[in-house]
Amino acid sequence: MKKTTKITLLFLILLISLVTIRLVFLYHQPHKDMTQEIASIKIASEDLLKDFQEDESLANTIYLEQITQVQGTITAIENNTEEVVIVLSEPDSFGGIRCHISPEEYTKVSALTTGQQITIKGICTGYLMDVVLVRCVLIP
Amino acid sequence: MKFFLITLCFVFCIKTIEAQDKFLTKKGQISFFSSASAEDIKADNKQVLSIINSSTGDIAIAILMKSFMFQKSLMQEHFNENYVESDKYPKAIFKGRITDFETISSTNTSTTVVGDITIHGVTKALSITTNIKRTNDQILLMGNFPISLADFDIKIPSVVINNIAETVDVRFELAHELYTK
Repeated sequence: MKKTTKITLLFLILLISLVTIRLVFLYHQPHKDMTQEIASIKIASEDLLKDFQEDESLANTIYLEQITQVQGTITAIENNTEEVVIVLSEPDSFGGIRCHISPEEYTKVSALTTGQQITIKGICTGYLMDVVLVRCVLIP
Repeated sequence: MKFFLITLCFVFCIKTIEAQDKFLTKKGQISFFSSASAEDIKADNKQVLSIINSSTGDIAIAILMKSFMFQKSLMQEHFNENYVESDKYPKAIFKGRITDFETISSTNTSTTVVGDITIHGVTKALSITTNIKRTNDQILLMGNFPISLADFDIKIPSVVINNIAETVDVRFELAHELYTK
């Protein structure tokens, strides 16, 4: 075999293995660690709800899949099923922010009570009757 | 004054009747399974909104596509960006009716739900057999049905043809509670 062919072959093998390693890493890439991620949007719960109620499609372009940090008053804590949800809203408003809590944070929820002001960070997935945030973590 | 009181009473009655008419859940669960030769894929959505009007048996379900959680983040990214295009079509909707709704009791019975389902901007008629049971303050609806990706114009690139099934199995469990607000 010619020397150049050898080098080319070696180079090709190296390239293929690098690509494979990269693909395997990409395939097994973990989900974002929400405690480490920095929120791209910081907003009060009533403003976030208002944005969705006024123009849902516009709000979708702004908030969908964004790590959103929301400050608001707890109006309900639902932890009777396997899912733990904290609802942030104004006392008299129709609709609110439903924050689905990450399982790692469940122990912190027991210390919370309704009426309390909290800040929560989660991924916005859209608006049904309420704005939905998933994989939420509490911010002290 | 009497007229006013009667009207008020009437309005109030209507309001209470209306309030008793709705069963609702905001945390219904829908999962789907794709079983292909190369791998099995499962995704869960636990933020499903479903409303049943108990005077008519009408049911409306809304799902946020971005709320489907996958085991691998890459799968979730591909699902949202390439397959269901959830930026363009953020919701899946089902509107229909539970047949023989008035006969449903607290024992688990089988009934058919018929209606229209919209996924990826495509609407199809759907008729599925479900398990249902109803108590004073809860309606539990559960079952499963297949969805053909091609029916909803969801294209799977040939590169991953061995990884994604052409038909996925959808399972749902919706525990509606009497809506009192």
